[in-house]
Amino acid sequence: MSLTSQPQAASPVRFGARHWTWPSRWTIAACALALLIAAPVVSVLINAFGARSDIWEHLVETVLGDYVLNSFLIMSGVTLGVLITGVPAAWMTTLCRFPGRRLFDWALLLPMAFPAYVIAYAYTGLLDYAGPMQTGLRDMIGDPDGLRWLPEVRSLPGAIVMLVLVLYPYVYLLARATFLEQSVCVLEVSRTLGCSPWSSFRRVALPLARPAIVAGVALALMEALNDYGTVSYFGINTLATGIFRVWRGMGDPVAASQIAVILLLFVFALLAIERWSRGRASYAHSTARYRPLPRFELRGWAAFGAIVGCALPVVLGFVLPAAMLLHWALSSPEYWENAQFLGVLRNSFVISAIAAVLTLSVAIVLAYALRLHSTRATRIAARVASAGYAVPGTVLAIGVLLPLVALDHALASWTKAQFGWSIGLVFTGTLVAVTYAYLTRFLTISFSAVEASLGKITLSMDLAARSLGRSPSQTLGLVHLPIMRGTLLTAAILVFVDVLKELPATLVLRPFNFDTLATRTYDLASDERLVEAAGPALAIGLIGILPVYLLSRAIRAARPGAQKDQ
Amino acid sequence: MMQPQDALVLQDLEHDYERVRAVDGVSLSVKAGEVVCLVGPSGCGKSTVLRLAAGLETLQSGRVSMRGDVVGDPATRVRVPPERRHIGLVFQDFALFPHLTVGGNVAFGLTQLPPAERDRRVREVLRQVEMDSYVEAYPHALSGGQQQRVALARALAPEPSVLLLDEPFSGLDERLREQVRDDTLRLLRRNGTAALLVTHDPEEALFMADRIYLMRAGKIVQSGPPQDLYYRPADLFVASFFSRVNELRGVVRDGHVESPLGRLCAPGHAEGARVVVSFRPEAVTLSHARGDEADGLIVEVQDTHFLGTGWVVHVPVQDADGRDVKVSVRLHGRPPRAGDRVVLKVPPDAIVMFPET
Repeated sequence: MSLTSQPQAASPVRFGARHWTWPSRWTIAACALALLIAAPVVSVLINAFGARSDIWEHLVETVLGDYVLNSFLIMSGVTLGVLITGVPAAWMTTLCRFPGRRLFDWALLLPMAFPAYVIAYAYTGLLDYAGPMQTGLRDMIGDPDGLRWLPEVRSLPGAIVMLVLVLYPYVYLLARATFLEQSVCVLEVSRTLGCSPWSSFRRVALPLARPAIVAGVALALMEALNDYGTVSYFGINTLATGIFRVWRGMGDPVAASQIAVILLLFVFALLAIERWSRGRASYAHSTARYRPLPRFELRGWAAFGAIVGCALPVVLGFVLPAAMLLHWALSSPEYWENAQFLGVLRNSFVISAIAAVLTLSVAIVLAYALRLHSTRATRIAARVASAGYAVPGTVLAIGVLLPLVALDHALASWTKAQFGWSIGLVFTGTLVAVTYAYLTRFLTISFSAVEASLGKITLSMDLAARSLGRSPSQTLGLVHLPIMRGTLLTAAILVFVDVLKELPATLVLRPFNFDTLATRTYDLASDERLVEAAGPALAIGLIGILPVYLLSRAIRAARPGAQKDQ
Repeated sequence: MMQPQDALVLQDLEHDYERVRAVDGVSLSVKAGEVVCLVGPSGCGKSTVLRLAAGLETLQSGRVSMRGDVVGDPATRVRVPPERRHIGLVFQDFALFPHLTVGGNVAFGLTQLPPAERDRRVREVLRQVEMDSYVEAYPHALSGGQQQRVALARALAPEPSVLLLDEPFSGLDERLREQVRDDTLRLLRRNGTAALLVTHDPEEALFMADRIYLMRAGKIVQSGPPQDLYYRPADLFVASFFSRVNELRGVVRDGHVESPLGRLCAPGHAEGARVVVSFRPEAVTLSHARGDEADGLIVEVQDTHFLGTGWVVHVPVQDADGRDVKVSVRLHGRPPRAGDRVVLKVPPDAIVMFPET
């Protein structure tokens, strides 16, 4: 075993006949894990193209068009929404000065705490005909039967608004990062050339930030396609709900897999756009030096506009739904002050912790294999394994369940034939299936964190440890892991919270009678028991603040120059 | 050819990165107790040689032996991993483990010793580098020089067969560097440690080395004691690597070269060959011209510059081709003034001649 010269350096290619050696254990492990991660998508493809569906033609004639159209409309609406919410907010908080700017800097991340389906429940309760908003308005105008013309929350535009409110932070974060980095090199110049705030935004900041903004939109759209809770609660037929309806409702896994393939086409297009723009975004950063930013001072109406523009997303995306849920939870504590709620809480914690530890371990193996042997094989393995975040939970559910069911049945009949007793449902009856889905979907988060953190450790550390008599595995345990402690904890927390919020895969893959906060919230809300759902929903939001806090701390630490300016 | 007292022997190493040959037939040896410097401009492949010796890079062709045992040879599939080669490594960035104390760092390689023995050894080595009062300190609390000493102690603690140092002083600022260099050399001598030091700094190589290997473009161009390379360079590259040289051009006629310095003997150069006549700035002497000199070249001083340790004087000279060449002269005493007429002399044994390339 040996270390290559640099993680990014090309591996030595041998001229002529040199000696072939076995790939190292690390390379083999990385490739095996990549195969495991890719398996659900492969199984969807096999299912979709390997068999004929009886109802596929019927679906094409009737509802499939609607599924595609609705998914497309949601994507269009979300694109528009996250752009007009996220980009101006990022520009104002990074490059302008107005009262409350430092508060909005991190507060704009708060809506990430809630999954879209949770605020959808809150808004439905708040804005429905019988909700406090309409009742109050009717009381005000003194007409108990009025205001029939008010728009319905549970609609396609309503779903778009819900998704925009929780997804704009992706665009905000990435746009913010580029605005900060480009500022030093070009914005000062543009100001000395006499650009007004508006024209400097339009002519300099925006074009330079475009790749990052596109990447942010692509990420938001992947999440929008992943959403199942909101659209199913609002009764909108999209590709995501279509998969479940055809599979569970009509009992046709082949047709469901075929719908999943269509959804995957959307997703892979987004993935390609995102990776391409990220590549371009890195060229736009021409400086690594930090200096206090040249901020535009906003006064009067401009300042007021900035405050409203930044406050609105925070209030609508976090404060208002949180207040509604809190009100429900406090008005009826009997729904959550009980053993059942504690059991659900415990389930959520257990499964999230298991998934976080497993995901992190796999990420460490992959990232370390890539560091030790940066070969074509390990690089491809890392790339495959880190594409899982793009696969929607609904697709994962079917991709994980179908092969595991088959495996379970095969295993059960084999043990029956061999030993006369059936082993039972080893994979689908336990936490294995759902954990596997989480691993696939959330590996990216921990992998990119571990990879970035490993990259910061100079290679001489490895070499020093090796020369002092330690093997690669010992070096990992004695040097890298202790140095990366902080990052590992952060990565684990991010995965933990994302698992806790995950709905569609959990709904399908959890063991019988195993309720988590997410599934409990969904079940209660689906039964229109919104007040009862408030307890678990609020718990999700409160735990969801944890990554928001970590993220806001990280972006403050990432920019030492920002400490000095006011 | 291998002697048992050789701490490290590299034979015919070759190494390719992609399509580029980084190391091209390098052989070298380090005897027990010897400090050897591998020096060359950046990108010449010297660091790759060090990595191949340490086993950090897979050997493609050639053989690495330590204390008489082959530790790497692709032809016989011998490939001892770095952790079992008994080498010490010191890096430019020191690479101290940030999560361990100074004591923890030094103890890292002492896995074979029982705890009490280990503690004793840690203190002993730290005392040698005068860092024994910092056992409990963390690396981030130390200065650059202190970190370097701890790195050295860590590498020496397991008593390696050979110590490999990769630009170990480049991370230090100039004032500190000299002191640390001196201390390091003294420590290596006291312990009798065989060391292979890679550096791009010619002065450092001259200062540290018992023997120098000079590398260029993957090949060793010359090796030997420092004085040999300095005074008897194999070619113009070697000559100009260690310090600035003045170059005059000429053609060999009847075994001699006509040059501004006079008619010079050119043994070993073919008739009609174009040659470079080279000499170092400090070999030149200047004296005020009286007009009755029997030998020496009378020139006019162009300008003088004060350097602190001496002066540099530039005098224009016309070489045999009629080209203007600015000859650089290093003086310690009071220099002539610009415009003064002076006699320029170079002792014949300070002149080296190379074929023009």
